[in-house]
Amino acid sequence: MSDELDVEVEQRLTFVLARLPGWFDEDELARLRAQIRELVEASRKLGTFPLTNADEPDFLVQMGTRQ
Amino acid sequence: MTQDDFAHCSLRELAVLLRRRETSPVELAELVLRRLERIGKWLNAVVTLTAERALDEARRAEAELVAGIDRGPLHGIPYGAKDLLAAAGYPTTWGAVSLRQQHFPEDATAIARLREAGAVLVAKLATVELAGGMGYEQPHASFTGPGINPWNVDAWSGGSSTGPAAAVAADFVPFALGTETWGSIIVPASYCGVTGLRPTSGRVSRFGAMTLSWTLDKIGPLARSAEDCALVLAAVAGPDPRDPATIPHPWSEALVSGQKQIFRIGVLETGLEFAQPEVVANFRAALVLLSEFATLEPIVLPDRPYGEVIRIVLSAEAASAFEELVASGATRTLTAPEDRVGGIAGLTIPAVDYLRAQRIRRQLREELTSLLAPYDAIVAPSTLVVASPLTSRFDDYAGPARRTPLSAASNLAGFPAISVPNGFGERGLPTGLQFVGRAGDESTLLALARSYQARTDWHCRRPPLAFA
Repeated sequence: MSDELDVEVEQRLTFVLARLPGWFDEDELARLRAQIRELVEASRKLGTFPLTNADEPDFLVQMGTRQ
Repeated sequence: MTQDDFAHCSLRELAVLLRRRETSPVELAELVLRRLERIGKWLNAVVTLTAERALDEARRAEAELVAGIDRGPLHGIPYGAKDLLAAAGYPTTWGAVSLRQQHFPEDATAIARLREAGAVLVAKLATVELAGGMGYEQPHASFTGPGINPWNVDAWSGGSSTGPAAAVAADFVPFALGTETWGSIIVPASYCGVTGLRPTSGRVSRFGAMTLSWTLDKIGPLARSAEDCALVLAAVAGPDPRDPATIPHPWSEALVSGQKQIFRIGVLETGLEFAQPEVVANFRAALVLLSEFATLEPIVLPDRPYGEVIRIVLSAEAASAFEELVASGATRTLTAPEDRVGGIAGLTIPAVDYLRAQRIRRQLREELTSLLAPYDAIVAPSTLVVASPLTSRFDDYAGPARRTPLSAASNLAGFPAISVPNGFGERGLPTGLQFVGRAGDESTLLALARSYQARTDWHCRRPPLAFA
């Protein structure tokens, strides 16, 4: 699991570096890697939450018109 | 009454004084501007004094009051606004050094409505850069410096509404507008010992406010009491065609007066094991007092991934909202090193992960709505720790007490919340009590907070600095 997670973190980091080449020094890369890891961990936890095909997304931006 | 005494009055007291002509809007504006200039900047609470506009608005209010034109309880009252809210003629910096010259051609709706109500804008107040959306981890995260707490100048004021909380606590302004996406009104209100109201999502138009997250951003008042918050909310709330997410009916302060006097409250103790002892003791004391006018029942928040959902939603929306700003390089000069790469990680969130978070969010909101339905409010400590030292990283100081599940859950659900002071903790810093209410029901929440404040005087306490 940890290896899989590391692979996804590095893949995402590669995407960022391709999009923003030459932006980051060593410290910033370390910070970015840590931030990406947090997001990957969060997404993986949400991936275990049971959902069905009928479960629609919530968009509170519509809340006012619903009340 | 000396001129400085006016700085410590409630909104209703000031309204009476103005109508008796014991003071005037111009005198109040000048007094507040002096205090902000002299001490407010020292606390890093002020970005821009809007002196010219303030004196113009004060003169207009003065002339109207003399002529018998009365715009209501805020007429002639000075206030400050977090520097995420546009004010025509002045910079709106969002706390970022690269945006010090950013101007917008018109007022944010909330500021325009306060102008219509006769209130006098005296200052744009400090904020954590980009409302903290870049993931700051310590107080030095704004070009105006770390927000300094008026109760202990070695402590942080809380964020991201740093200036509004500190300015109200130090009696520089009787009220201020702040914003919250995930804790940015409730936390600084608690840390600074003031009353902070986070309205229901959509209650206050976001037009003219910096976007951090379209589905999480809210605008609300920080003031000395729940009663003052109600007066401000009444002035700024209501539908706005320029913000399609606004609730389509108005809100009136009279709704608070019509509320019942006996309440049913769910008591949430989740996370108390991580809280500082004084926070726990003050919470227990508040429960004893609440039991005089409320039925208290234990309540348990379902074990759900609130933190993960809000992290994904907020990170994805912030990455999108700031995509152009990041690409321009403007975030490379942010004050906090961690903020200079913040907002970039969010670019890597797959669309399906964002949608999954929003799908889960819907279930959580429906579950929380059912949980809260039998109650007038949930009560819990606003924060589990007092304000951190200026030199500490948040995680180092608070550890697992940094974030509460209720904060994530109630922000995801769009529920209103209010923080009221309920005592003091370590290093002489205030603690706060939080009530979370049903969506759209600020009236009950404010009535409850008002009943609590009618029996306590924590909200009347002032730091010595306020009398400087």
